Amino acid sequence: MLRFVVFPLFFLLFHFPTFAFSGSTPSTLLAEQRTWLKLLHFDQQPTFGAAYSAVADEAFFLSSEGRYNLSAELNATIAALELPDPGDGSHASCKFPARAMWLAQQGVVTPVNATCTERDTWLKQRQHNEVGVVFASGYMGNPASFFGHMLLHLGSVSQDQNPIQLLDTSLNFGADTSGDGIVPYIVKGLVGGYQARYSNVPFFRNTDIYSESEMRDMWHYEFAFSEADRAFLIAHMWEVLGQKFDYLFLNENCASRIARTLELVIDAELTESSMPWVAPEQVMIHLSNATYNGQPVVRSRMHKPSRRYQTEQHFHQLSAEQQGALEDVWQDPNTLNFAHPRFRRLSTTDRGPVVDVILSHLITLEENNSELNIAALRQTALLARLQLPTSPAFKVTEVPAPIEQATPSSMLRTTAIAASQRDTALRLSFRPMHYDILQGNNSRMPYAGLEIGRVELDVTGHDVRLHHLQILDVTNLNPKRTPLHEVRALAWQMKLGVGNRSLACNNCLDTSAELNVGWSDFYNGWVPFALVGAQLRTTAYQDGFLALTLNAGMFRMWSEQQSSYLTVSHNNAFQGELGRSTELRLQHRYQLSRESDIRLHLASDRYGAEAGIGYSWYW
Amino acid sequence: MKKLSMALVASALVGGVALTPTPASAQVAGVNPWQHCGIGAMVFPDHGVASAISNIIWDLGTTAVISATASPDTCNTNLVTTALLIDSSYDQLTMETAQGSGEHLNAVLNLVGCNATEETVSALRADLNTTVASDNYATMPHADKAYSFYSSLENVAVSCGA
Repeated sequence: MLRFVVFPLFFLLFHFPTFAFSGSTPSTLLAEQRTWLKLLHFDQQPTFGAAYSAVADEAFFLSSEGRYNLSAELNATIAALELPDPGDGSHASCKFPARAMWLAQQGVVTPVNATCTERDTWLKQRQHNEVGVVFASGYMGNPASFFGHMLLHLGSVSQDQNPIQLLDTSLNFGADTSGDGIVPYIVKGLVGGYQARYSNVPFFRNTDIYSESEMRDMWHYEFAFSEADRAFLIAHMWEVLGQKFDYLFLNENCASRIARTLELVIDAELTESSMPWVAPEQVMIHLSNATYNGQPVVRSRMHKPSRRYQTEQHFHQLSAEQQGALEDVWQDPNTLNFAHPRFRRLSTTDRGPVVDVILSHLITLEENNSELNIAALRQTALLARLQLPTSPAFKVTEVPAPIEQATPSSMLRTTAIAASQRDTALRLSFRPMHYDILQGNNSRMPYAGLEIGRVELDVTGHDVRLHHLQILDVTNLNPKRTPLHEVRALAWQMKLGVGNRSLACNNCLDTSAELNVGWSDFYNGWVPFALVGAQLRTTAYQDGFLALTLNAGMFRMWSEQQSSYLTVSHNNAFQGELGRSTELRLQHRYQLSRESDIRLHLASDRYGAEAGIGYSWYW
Repeated sequence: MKKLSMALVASALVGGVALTPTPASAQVAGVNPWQHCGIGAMVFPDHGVASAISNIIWDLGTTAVISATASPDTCNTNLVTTALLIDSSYDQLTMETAQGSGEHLNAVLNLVGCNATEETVSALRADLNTTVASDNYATMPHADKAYSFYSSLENVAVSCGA
């Protein structure tokens, strides 16, 4: 049985910064303080009407008007905090320790030394914790995760100085979707109908999901808060744990709520956005630029690689002889032959890392629902490994760039176009989000692109015409980057848009939806691919509303700054000449800075050709 | 991989119990967390659409360990946290045990008040070798494998002087 210890709440009061207070209407003045607004999450501002709190839980308010009336909630809080302690943990200071701390500092309440067993236990466990956030990279398996995810993180530096530990605390803000299917999930997520709250689990639960299962890289950012602000913020986390918040996928999500929670101690607008949404990437960039007491608020950053990334890195750190031995041991996907002479020729010390890579990769395969007999393979590998000496833990040496160093999501581009069958034009392109395949990297997702809402207008001497509206363009080449056996590593592509049907015309717009699935591989940095699928399209030009498609090509990332993408696209609606088309396109990106690049492209089809050079600006 | 509904117990644990080193004596001898504390009572949808789109509520607000046959006091200890970690990370744990080091191994030893020393790791390796060498290891239920590791850890905790 735990012995509860009273949290030294009042000790913290001596360290907490004092706010100036004067005037004869204390509730009005105090109620308008930024800190009080942040404590109540009073950040919902409808187009018409007054602001109100994002917390939708009546239990969060001590006044019946509290959600909509700052002063009423302040007065109710002051009154409740001054009540005698009933001794059963129901005193207002048990539920709202951060409010109590702040109001005591303002000199409007006299602290009551209430018995708050649960509060004190929770806070005491975290009294020496550092506050941070964890960013999980984007994930193609879930629309809500395309743009990354954020968690609040509470942890203490361990003896080995590792700032992130599996036993730390994660506060995960997420919607309770009650098992809804994908369609109601999207509808409710966009227009309303869900409520979200902070959950509270050990960090290992989240690494299990994000790193080990969904294969997402994670980054931990630790903040340089003072001891007083740390305690104040952690006390506020106790206040909001389990409280229901309004949830909207675009702007009332994990990123916006975590940002607004942190704004309690960070004097910055972390949710500022030029778009009608708040994405985790945006908040991470704001956090990375934010200051606290004149210094960067982020004190340290640590990469936590996904299981897949660890396996790849570990494999590439093996010597050529070890890699060869691994391939010989695992020639047959269903069998591990550790008696193979090439493996036996390795020293016992060198054999260990070979088996380690296999064991690590088996986790990846299992999470990908491999049809291999993973249990039997693991048994064989574990037995082999246990006969070998232990070895130091593998370290990832190549750390990808963090998200705040990635190219921003919104894009504006101007391209000079020379076409064989059309007028020379200036093409203006705008994309609200997110990144194309030439920009893909480990900060988001390598060898993948996700563009939403890209608009291209061709401006000539006499008119302006829509060249292309790409509503959605998702590509995931998903190449295997080691010779290890892979399953379900299909490349795929999904497109929905309106565009001209050939390079020879500028007024032949057609709407199409396309899905392709296929193969890709990885050879010394080259990523060839071949996808087949189908395209549904409007029939305005009498060339068939359904076509089979073939997309093949090659992708190459030359460096962090340069990449090339060659595609051959063919579709055939089996309606004769008009129903067939083939296009060859080569694109190249040269990054000038985080916010700009130069693009070159050449394209050709049976009716014409075009070349372009463009300058892109990202923000 | 079989993943279990640890959300409910996780909520209770993190809400009420420190995830900090606790002497092995705090563990309750003879208790099988999988049988007595509700771990394994429900199979949680692992990585299908249902779990993928939840984004993500893992603790469902329950403050007690469901279907526990032992008393809540018994289960609301590091015992269940340890079991939870073993259950969710069994593959990583066995891999790291075989390798001799790793963050999951450190964490689970830390939970029972031990460090990853040559002695503790050797003992766990020896026990794991015995378990893995059994003919039915590949077909053994996940909970049985996890409990086997848990039992081994209990023994190590006794001898590590915690």
